Amino acid sequence: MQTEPIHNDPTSSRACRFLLWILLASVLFAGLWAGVAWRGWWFRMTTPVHFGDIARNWTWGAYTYYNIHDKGRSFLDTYDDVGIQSRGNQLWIDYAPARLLINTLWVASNHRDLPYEWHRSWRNKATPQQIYEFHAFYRIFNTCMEFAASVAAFLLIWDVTRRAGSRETRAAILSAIGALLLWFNPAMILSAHGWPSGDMWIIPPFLWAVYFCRIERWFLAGVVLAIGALFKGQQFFVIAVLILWPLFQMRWKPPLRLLGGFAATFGLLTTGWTLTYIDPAGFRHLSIAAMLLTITPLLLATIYFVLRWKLPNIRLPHIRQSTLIPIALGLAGAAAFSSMWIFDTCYAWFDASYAFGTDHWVYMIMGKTSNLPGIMLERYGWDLERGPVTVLFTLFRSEITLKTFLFSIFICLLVVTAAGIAMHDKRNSTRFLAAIVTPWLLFFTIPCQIHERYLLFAACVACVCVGHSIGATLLGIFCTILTWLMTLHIMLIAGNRNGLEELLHKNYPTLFTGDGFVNRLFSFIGGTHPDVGWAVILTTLIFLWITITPLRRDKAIQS
Amino acid sequence: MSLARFKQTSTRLKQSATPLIPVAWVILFALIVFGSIVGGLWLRGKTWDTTNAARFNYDINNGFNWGMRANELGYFSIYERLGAPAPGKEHTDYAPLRLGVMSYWVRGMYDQRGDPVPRSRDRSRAFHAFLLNLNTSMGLLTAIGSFLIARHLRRRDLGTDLPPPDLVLADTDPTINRDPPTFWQGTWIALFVAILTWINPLILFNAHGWPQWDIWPMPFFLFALYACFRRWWLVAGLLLGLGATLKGQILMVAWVLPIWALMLGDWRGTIKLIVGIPTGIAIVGLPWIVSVWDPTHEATRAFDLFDRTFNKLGLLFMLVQVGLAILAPLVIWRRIYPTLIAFAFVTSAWLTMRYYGGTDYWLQSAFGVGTWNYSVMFMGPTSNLPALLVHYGWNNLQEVMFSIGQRAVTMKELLLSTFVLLCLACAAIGAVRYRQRDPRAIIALCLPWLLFYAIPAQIHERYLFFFVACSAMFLICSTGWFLLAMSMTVLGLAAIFHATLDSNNIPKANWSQIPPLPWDNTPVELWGFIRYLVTPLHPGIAWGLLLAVAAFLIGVYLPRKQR
Repeated sequence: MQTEPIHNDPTSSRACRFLLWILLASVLFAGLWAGVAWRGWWFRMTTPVHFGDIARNWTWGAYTYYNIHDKGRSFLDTYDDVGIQSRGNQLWIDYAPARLLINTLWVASNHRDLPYEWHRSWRNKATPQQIYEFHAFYRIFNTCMEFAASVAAFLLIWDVTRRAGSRETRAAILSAIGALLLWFNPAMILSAHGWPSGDMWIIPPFLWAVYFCRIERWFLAGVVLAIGALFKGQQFFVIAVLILWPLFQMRWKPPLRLLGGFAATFGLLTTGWTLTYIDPAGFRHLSIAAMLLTITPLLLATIYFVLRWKLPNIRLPHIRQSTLIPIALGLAGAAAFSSMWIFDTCYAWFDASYAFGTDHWVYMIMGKTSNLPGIMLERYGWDLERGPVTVLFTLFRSEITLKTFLFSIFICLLVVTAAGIAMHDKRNSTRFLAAIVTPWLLFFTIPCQIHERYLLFAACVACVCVGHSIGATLLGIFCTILTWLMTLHIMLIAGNRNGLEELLHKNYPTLFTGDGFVNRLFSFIGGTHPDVGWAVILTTLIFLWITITPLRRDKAIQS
Repeated sequence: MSLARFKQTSTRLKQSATPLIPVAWVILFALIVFGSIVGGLWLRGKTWDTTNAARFNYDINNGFNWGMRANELGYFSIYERLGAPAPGKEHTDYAPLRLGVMSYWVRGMYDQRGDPVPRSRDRSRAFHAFLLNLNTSMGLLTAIGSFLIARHLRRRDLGTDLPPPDLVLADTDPTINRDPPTFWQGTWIALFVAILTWINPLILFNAHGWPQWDIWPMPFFLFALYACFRRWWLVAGLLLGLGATLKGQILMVAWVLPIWALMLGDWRGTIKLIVGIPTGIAIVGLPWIVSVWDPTHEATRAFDLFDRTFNKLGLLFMLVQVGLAILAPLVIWRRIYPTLIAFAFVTSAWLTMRYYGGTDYWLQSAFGVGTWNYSVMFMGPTSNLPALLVHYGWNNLQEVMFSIGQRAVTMKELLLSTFVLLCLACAAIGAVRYRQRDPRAIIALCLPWLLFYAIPAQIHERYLFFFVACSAMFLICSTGWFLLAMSMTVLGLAAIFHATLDSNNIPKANWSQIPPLPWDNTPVELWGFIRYLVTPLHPGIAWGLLLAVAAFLIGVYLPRKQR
């Protein structure tokens, strides 16, 4: 696609451009260094209020690691050991494979040198420095993911602004600002280094996927989306947008490529479960039938190429390599994936990773989420189970519950958003950058069962709005503030508020005089729930409006 | 060919080529206007008929009561008879013109029924017809004001008021529009704006459901704004002053216009506005300035002047001063300066009121009572910043927030200062945008109404109405701005439904309890369901309101993207 600037660039001389890039590189390098240091600061300062999620991460990592290390079993066996879980809040795991892998690697890297007592300051068993060291692996991995997200944000803003007609200087500066805004995003840092959790692991795959879509690398986009989905299932909620986007542009090959990449990566990376089964004695066996089904598309593709190479005179339909290979890989992945149902191979991993999450927390909201269901629950008393509107209406003899209704609205608006994204992409509009935030905002605002932290996805992706307008950027910053508050709210509810007060006072006696700042902050944040959800709804509507309306200016540029 | 000739020829050519089109447009325009007016009248009637369960009887009773009292005590003498308004004694917060309307209404009832003084209000439509008709007229005038402003700003944005382009240049540059401006440019969108204002549900319910008279100052404000755009500054000031004698709330925003004029660089306009506003007030207050209550005589009808004696000294003083203001420039420069006359009038009126026998109880009642009458953070289910502050425990209006030197700043002053500062910002932004021919100037100039609702203390839930009455004009900026402004209609409706349904103690109901259609009358369960929906919005929805305020402020501040 054309990426040449439309206007003449006054900084077109080589020296100017060289200087610009040197300057930007210096700023970015300084930002990188400062961001790493700042992350350490956040981790240390929030030590008394770290949430219990990190302990669960360690628990399942340790379970898996000691299974491998002591019992001679494999990484694959954790899910099958747990089996299909009851939804009664007993022992449960809802970690997708890649997430479990990271936790296991964390335990593996720690188990020799760092005792478990260092994991938190509970009962004064560990000093802050020991806790810091104990979580080093997790922190470093989170930092790497944050860095990857920032790089993707840079590239995405660069690509969109350049195609929209911005000069190189402007595009570079905007891209750097967007990347730095994401790199220093307090909500992301609080989530990754304060909570700490792996919620932000799906942000880099999403941003990279959008970037790959922009540069017509749809298969690669599918690959990174699948990796993201293997980290956290929430990735699934917005994949539809990236599939529908080219379809709205009347292009059917890109979605196929994306699906191919997704199915290939997702299916093939999980073949450890999908092509095996557990016998009654507890041993894992390869399912030959499943394997045959999986390799059939690959074999057929290979045969096709061999025939065309060796017997060029045979009349075969001409299919390009670039088309056939993704299709074959995608079909292989899909075949592997469907083996779970066709050949009854291991299913527990899928149940734990994705199915369990949808019916585990059957509540309107999880935690202190300020969104539409939060307002419905807290202000109107509507509940998924016992509210006055459990069944809203009947459609084609099926009862539409509040959960289904809200989810349907979400899906409908997602389709509308995809149409908007397609339009802005086609018009080379910078509104594209705001439009890709909308799916994540809708995901937070409308469906039930949403955690308070999930506005993080929108807040982080919204950093790319720098390339569009100051207004949208400010709304993104507003989302950052809100998600920061909501995340901190839960941390303060569950954590040691007095401990945090003491820590802040000890380190910054002039700023924090120890007169109950944390408790005041806590009560302030408490007062925002759930009513600040109205502001979230308004923000979502504004982004939705930006998504579905074109700018006249873009048409002029396009022409 | 001269430019004027070119214009004439071009217009003639157009007309001769398509003679039927202008006539068709005129007919279409007239039909739409006629249909809209008829539809709006029908909607108003339906609003009154269907909202019986949602009346806010306190306000209409209060209005009736003051009309009745004015008939008892004499309209011109009631302020002096009640004396200086103070807490704990009988006082009115009715501005003179509003009290005059109420007195006239009750007087009409007397004439109609033959009752010397009607003692009770009945709930029929006929009984309220005068007020409802006045509300309708004011609604229509508001719509006309919106039309004029929208058309003016739209045409200004299109550059139709600019001199025609250089024809030689126009021949070579295809981007220059060579066509002379037509009447219809900006007219259709302005008509749409007017229709939207005319049938705005908040205006309908406020004027014909509640019913209230918040609509009365709006035509004055909008026509004043239009007069400002046309640089008729003194007229604008007079209109604002007259509007203030209907409802004093207009003064909370009116002061922004002189600042805006100053920031436009038109200091003469600022002076004219500053002179015009008190002149408008003084014109209405003239009866209390040039005459005083005579306790030895009794008035028998509301508007009798039997119980009043002329303040001869004051009247003479005023006549001399105004006469000098007319004659001196006429003799010296052979010109009449209306602003000078107005200035002479208003200063002499003020001096007469203070030092030559006039009274200022009417002024205190009109503009002073409101500042202390309801000394609470907010009145009714108002969802704004003070309501959120109360949610956090700040419920004392007089709580000292901080001190500047020896001066303690209370919560009320802090909120008011914030409001004033943001209004100043609006005036500055409005001036920049107006100079740039950016129609968003209208957002900047109407935004103080939203700030007036959102920021200061002591605000009633109805006061979002003032902003909503201006909001349809935002359509000329963009659909997005318009929709954001229209969301305030929903907010305003929710607030006033909350107040009225609470006051009538309508039992809350679920959706399932509403009887199926068709209905003979609006079922009480529907009102109960509306109450069930709107009650939990207070005060939390103020978060959304504040975000909208921020969006408006930032959005109007940021430069417009180049087309």
